[in-house]
Amino acid sequence: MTADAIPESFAFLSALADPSFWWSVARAALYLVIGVIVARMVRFGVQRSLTHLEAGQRMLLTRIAGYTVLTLFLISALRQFGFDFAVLLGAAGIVTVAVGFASQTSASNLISGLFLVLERAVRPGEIVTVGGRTGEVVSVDLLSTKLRTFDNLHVRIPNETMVTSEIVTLNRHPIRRFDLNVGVAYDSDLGVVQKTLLEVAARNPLCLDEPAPLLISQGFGASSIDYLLAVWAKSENWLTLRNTITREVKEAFDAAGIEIPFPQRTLQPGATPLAVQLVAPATGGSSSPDGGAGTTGADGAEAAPLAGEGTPSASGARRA
Amino acid sequence: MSQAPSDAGGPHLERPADEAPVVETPPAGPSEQPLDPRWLGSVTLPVGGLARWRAGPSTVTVQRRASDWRIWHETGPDAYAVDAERARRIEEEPPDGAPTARFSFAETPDTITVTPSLADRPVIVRPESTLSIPPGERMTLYVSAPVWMALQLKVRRPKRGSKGPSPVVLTELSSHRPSDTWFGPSTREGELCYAVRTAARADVAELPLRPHRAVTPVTVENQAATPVEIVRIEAPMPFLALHVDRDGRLWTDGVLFTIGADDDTSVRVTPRAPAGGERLAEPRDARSFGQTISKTFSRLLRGEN
Repeated sequence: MTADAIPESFAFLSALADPSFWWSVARAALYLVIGVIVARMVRFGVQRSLTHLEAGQRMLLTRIAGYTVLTLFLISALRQFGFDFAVLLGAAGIVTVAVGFASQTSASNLISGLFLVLERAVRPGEIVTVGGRTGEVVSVDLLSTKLRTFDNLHVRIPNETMVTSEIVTLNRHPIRRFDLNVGVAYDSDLGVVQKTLLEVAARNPLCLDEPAPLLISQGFGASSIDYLLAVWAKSENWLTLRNTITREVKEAFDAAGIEIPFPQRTLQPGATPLAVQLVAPATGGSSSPDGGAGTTGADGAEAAPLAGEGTPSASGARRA
Repeated sequence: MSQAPSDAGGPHLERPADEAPVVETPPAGPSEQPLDPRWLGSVTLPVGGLARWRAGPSTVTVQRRASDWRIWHETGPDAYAVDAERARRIEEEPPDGAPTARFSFAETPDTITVTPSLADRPVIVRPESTLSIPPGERMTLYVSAPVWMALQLKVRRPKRGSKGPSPVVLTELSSHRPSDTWFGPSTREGELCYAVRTAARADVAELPLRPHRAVTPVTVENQAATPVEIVRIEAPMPFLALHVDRDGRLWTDGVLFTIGADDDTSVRVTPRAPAGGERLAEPRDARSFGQTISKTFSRLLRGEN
């Protein structure tokens, strides 16, 4: 270290002795103090004036307004020290590009979160289905949305996924419809069926009178004549209505003698009847020539082996 | 405005209007009210004692125990039953099954009072058939809706400065739970109401006296230049007071809908105390309700639903 260098290293000490420097510091501090006060006032004012918005939206806009004001005052304070913001902004552009590439996913989630909050796509407390998962929205944060599923799992969904996915909100509207598909046997009296279904809907106190229950014939099914009974309930009562009306329809059908048929299939033989022959059960001691069924029983009953496909049998019962 | 479906109050649910009510009149007890000839009143019970009353399809049994009051509430299938039985002490075993509700006390009060109260939501009713009101005319329809049974006990309040026991409503039980319905211009906007399936009657004599139902006179006055078709009527039960007349019939305040010349509808409650009767319950909601109902009703009249 040379003797000339020492005074240069400590040159800033002479700046400290300059009264104008301290004047700049005082002005910068004053700007910051005023900035903090103004930012708080702005946040308070924004929060008070946006009471019609939801809590999440209000918080977001309040923070944006507060930080914007604070940033402006901070820039003004730094200018007191002679900072050139043209250079800083240029550097900031390069840094932004670099950081943007590095944190592309986070930035995408952040921006998606802003859209989610402003669009009010989902709100805390709502029941939503996203990507096959159904649960209650716990919170909508800037990076992710949290769900609590009905089996009490905590699900974190990135906001980018939320924005690009189909979201079904189950309880956004005050009332909701339940569609009950029911099939009745072909020999049922359809007038009685329709009357029974509508009476069940009328008797259930959770089923809304209006909008009126809707009964739609779905046509002739493979095993049944199908109906759709569409009934409305308050959203909170939807699950209870779904459970009770299913039971009540079954009970009413049982009482009215209406059958809900199982799937049935009628087998038709081809051009040549399919021969089926009753065969006596095999007993010990004797066996048929082919070593299987078709033996001579102990009681002397004799039966021929099963006829092959398309081969008429000499005797025995035939079933189609 | 669309025409009202004709299935309101289907024949399977209706009873002949001229059916005479069958009302049991038990002997008056010392703690019973003189104007409540059917099921209202008070009962004083010792520890372990039971009391029972019936109102229409509902049967309520209560038991006073050392540490709690137990309540069993059963509802029969006939929503239009006209049976009634005053609250009175019975010498029977408690009903089978768990109580509907229990209320615990350090020391149970000995007297339970049963009073009627109106529905906690508006009631929607349809006219018996399509009803048009020509310009300049007014029409009164009588709507009958089930009441709730409020169970009250006088509870000692351990608050400093409280003067003696004060009545507390333990619970309210519906004499018959009406069906829910939606009243509003769309499935996204409106309010949940109760639907009454008995048709509104133009003549009060056509309404059988049912001890568990209160009658609301709803008047519609058409001051518009065109006829108005009434599809459904909302009776704002939470804003009405409840009365009983000398015959034991329950009445509410009246409601007056006025359809103005510019199709604006105003609504107001018309206090209506029957002669010689008694006021049984104050409105649940004492706030002003005119504007809200007016808006909804007006939209329905214009057929925006």
